Amino acid sequence: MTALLQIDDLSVSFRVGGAELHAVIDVSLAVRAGERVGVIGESGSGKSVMARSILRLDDPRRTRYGAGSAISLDGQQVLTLPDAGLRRLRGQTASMIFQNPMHSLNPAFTIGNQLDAVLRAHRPDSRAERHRRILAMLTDVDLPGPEDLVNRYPHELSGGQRQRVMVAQAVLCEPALVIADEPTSALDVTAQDSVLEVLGRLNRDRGIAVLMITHDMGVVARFCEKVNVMYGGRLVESGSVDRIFAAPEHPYTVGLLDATPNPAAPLKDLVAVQGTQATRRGTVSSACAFIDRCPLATEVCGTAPPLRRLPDGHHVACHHAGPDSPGRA
Amino acid sequence: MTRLYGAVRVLLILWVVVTVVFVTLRLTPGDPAELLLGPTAGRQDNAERLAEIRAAYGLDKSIPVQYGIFLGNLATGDLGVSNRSQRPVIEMIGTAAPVTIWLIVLSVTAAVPASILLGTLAAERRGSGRDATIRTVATVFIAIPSFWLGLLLLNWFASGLRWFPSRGFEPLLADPLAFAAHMTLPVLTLAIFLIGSFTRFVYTETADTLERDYITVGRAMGLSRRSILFRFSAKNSLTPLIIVVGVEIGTLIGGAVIVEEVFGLPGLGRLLLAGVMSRDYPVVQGTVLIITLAVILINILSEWLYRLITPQARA
Ligand SMILES: Nc1ncnc2c1ncn2[C@@H]1O[C@H](COP(=O)(O)OP(=O)(O)O)[C@@H](O)[C@H]1O
Ligand SMILES: [Mg+2]
Repeated sequence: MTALLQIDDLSVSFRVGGAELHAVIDVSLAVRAGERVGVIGESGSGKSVMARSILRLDDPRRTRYGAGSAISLDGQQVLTLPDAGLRRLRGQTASMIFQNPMHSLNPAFTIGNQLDAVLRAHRPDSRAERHRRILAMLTDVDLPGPEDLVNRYPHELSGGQRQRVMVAQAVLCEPALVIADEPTSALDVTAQDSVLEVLGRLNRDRGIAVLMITHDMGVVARFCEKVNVMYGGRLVESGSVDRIFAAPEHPYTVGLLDATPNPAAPLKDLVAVQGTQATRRGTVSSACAFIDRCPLATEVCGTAPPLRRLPDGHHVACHHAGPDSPGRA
Repeated sequence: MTRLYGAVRVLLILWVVVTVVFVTLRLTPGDPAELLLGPTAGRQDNAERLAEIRAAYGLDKSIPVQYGIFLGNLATGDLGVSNRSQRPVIEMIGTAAPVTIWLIVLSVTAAVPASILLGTLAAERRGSGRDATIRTVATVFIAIPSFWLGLLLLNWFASGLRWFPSRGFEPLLADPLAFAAHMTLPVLTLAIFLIGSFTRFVYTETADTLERDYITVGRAMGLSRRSILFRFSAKNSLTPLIIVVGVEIGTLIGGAVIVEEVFGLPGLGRLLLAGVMSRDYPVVQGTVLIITLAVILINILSEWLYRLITPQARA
């Protein structure tokens, strides 16, 4: 059976001032129906570009997808789908929640108006039906007083409330997948908890799969079953959350976990891993992207390691990882 | 308190404006009585007639006295009587104002949707050929002098093709078809200038709006391109456009004066120009006063409207 979301060898680049910026390089990952999958990596590692590609949100005039790249969403080929088909996928098969709830809502329309626009875009329901559905959904995301809330404008709501409105909007048309791009990064701790709690409930009760993008190992630990670690536009490690926390393979993941002594305590940013990512403008180096920051780097790291499957099903892209790693000779 | 302050300010502005007009009119060479009598005014035997006329219109009194009488009459709402037609000025304004109001209302009504369409389409594809074309057209529309464009349109469509009458006006209720025929070219002339200036404004606003996160959110939720551009985004640029119309109303009336002259529309602009030509003091003073009052009121109205439809400004 194919997964709900299957990303194969996704490469995304942008034309920036005459040079090609390689934001995502050869990333493959899958999300099955009802799964909670995490993507973690420091700022600039390509998480958001990967996420936006799933709904092909980037400006087609500036964005290039690699020749072998494919994204299959509920059996549809996202990267080659005509615009009309793509529009039907968006919001209905998969929807997205963004980082900053202060900017995610249009200041000129009421909450009810904006939610209603989404329903009208996808469903032939009557006005009364749509209204009922909106009220029910706002209640489901723990927003009290929905009759009053629908008439409010975004600036009258707190950040946490707005983000829950965004969650309600995201699940309004019962999508199979919600892509959450750092949905809690801009919120205070209490609001973070409530958003994660609501997303977790929607996942359990309605079987909505969640692709949780974050730079916070704490969020991964609390929310996800599986996790993909991105670095420098590439996937460097992927597997179950339990496995990664118990025995991280990639030196970058090791660094991340060292920087997060208590996974339950949220971490603000992943600066704790020393150094910075190499630039991905122009031609990308053929060496391992982590080479400059890696304590284990040796000669073999001059060629980029492919993502390998370890005997227990865990995946890692490092010459030095795993029981019989070539780097450990 | 603020309301009282506002009213005092409006009165002050009106007083300054009428005073400036009063003074400049009297400093301008040209004797209204002589102009009224015509070319024979200089003849010896007309001296008596001139004196009669001056006395009839109070022009024989000293200027400060004239000013006092003028303000006194104003205070009772009396704008005086035309030196030329003997008609009460307020009545002449009452006849001319609807023409100007129609011209402005129809031009703005035509220009606003056209500008939203053009400005939005350009902003959607910044840096494209479409963007460049639309913005060039907008600049050309602003740069074309209205009187020249008016004459050009007159030449083509009125004199040449004879699709439209070349001059005059017909009230809407008297003859709707004739009204439309008389208004088409003047409205087009004024609207073209407005489309140029509004399109540039909508472009800037929309380019900014389309960069916003909530536009990406709308696309991610599957809203159609049309509803994103012309519903979701347009409200954000339409709202400040109300303020622009309010602020530009002075420019608009200036444009209307030119257009009325070119197309022989008997509106406030023509009334004012004819009054200036014949040194018809009461007509000029009265018309300027009413126009100033209209500009002030429209500014207040547009600000009030803006507050009404902008949720953040209401707080
Ligand atoms: N629209 C874009 N145009 C050009 N470069 C972009 C664009 N979006 C992202 N990038 C670049 O791609 C890289 C990856 O960015 P992003 O996916 O946002 O990282 P993350 O979400 O992991 O912080 C960064 O170098 C960023 O500057
Ligand atoms: Mg990001």
